[in-house]
Amino acid sequence: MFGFLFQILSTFSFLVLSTTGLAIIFGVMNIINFAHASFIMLGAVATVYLVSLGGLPLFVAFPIATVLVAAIGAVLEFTIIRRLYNRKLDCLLATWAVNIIIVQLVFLLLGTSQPGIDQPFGSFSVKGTSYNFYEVFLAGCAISVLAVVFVLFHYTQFGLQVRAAMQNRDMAAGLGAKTTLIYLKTFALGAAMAGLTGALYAPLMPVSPYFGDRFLWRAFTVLIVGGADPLVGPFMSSVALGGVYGGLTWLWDSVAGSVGILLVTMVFIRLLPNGFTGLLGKLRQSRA
Amino acid sequence: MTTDMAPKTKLHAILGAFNGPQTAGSSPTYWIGFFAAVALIFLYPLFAEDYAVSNNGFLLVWIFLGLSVCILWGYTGIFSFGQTAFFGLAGYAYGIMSINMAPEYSMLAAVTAILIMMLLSALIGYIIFYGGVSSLYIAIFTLMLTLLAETLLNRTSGPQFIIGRASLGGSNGMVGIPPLQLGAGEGSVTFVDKTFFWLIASLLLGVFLGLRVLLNSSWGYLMVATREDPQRTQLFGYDVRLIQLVTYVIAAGLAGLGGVLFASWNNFIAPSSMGMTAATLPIIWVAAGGRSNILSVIIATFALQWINQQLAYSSGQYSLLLFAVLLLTTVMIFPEGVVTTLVNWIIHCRRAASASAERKLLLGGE
Repeated sequence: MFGFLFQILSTFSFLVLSTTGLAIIFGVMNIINFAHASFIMLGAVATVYLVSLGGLPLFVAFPIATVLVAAIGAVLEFTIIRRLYNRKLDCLLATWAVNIIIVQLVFLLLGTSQPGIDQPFGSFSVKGTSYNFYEVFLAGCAISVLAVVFVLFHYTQFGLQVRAAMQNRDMAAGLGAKTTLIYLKTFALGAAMAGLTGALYAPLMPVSPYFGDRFLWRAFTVLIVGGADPLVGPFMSSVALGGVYGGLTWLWDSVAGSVGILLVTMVFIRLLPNGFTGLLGKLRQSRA
Repeated sequence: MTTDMAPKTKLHAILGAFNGPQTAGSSPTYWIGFFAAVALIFLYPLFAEDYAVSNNGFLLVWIFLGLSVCILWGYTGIFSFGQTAFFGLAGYAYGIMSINMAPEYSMLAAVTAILIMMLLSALIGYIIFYGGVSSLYIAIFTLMLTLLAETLLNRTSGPQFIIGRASLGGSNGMVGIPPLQLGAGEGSVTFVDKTFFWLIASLLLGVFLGLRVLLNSSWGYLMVATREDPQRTQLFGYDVRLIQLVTYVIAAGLAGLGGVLFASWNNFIAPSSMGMTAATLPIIWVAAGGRSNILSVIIATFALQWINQQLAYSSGQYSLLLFAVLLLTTVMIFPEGVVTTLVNWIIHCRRAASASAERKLLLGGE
């Protein structure tokens, strides 16, 4: 029973961390950032090199990697994304092209296998099965990330302007919000979240230029099931999909988990095309 | 351009079905050039070696996949990242059936594989189009499907994944797929090398002309109307979801045809035919060619796959990087596609030249 809950918890934190960056950018700018996978990979690669070559402690490497990826995200927004705000599909294509370029460059410069780093904290055992403390730490990180996003969006000047720009960009700009700057910051924030995710998972998985790929399609499912709200979406759908995937993986194997996620996503697309965000909106409406 | 002209002769009436504003090129010069090119393509195997012919035939296989993306994205405005799933799965379906059947039934296996893909696409299409999700969601959902298909097929290496005599083979793929064959016994034709080239060229000619008729028919207008403004099309009383669904099924059939031909040429199909790179390449051909022009897409697909093959011999690791840079350049600088932009530029130059010649003539006459 503990194994089951632990599996769900670890899937939940994996889904939350891999999606939040994508969801923030999608929710605020209505752009699907296909470079997300490469941002995650860059975060992981930066961490691995900072620790192994730079000799830095892991917990110093995390923020440096995050800031580094945020800076790359900001540059990307400034050079490419802002020219494509009104061409959503072209924006998807451009970010996808950037994703491939970054992955291929890392592959050409650094090769396939990267140095490995040790996992901190050690492990504990319940009824003879051992579990990593690091996974528990990751769950804590996932919840903290959600809390930070909540505070940022609801209790700061920046969050107020972001929510205004989400509802009506032109109106917000007309009332004096610098929407271009808001979008730049939002994109950098989303990139930072991706970089942090990569950094956090670097000690847990082998790092390669294709590190981000395993996050990508699961992040997409969370996005579809969650909907546009950058807080409600990732949280609710990570709980739901984490339950489905973790449960099925614990019962059978990860293939069953993947198929389960696919089926849930199909049901959502057919019945609730706006995901949990849409469901919540409907509930609010019916109460009012 | 010619639609408002009444057909004058029988020939005009026949050509009229092939011409219209949805496809570029309708002048007699265009069609003469087109049939001259077709004649050259069909004569080509007589003057070349088996290996070169076979290889060029293989390059033509990808065009079906490119056209599949083209009619969906360029004409109907549905951006599907997952057409390669139908390509790969059709290859698997053809492989499983043709390995287990006598060689004379390989055509039946091919047709069945394509029909299975169309049925599958009808199911997926029903979910995405009747659910009414946004075009961005369709893009990520279709990509998700193809990546999941790859993941699942990668795990099929065990003995429990042997269907009849066909082993799915996990990440190594399925081997020993027989080539297509028509008829049985002595009079039969096995499509390899030159005969394969002629088969592909004929299918391609049929598909090209068929698409020109389809795109210039009233159905083609509905496709373009759906792309331009789905809501307005809906308000005119058309069921946009049905238009999208039917186009999606046709496109899946085209991708499936490509997959069957690929598997029969290669005698092999692997899960990587449904991976990230495989999903990306068709998008790049179509974007770089010109998404709403079937001839541009044909040219771009052949040219880019040829470049890809040449690079694979010398510096394969750079080819994907090069293609990604091409995609980025296309999106940023040539949104209409490189081939289309180039052709439009040539036409523009010629028009400008003839206009200035006319002006000179007029001035000289005064």
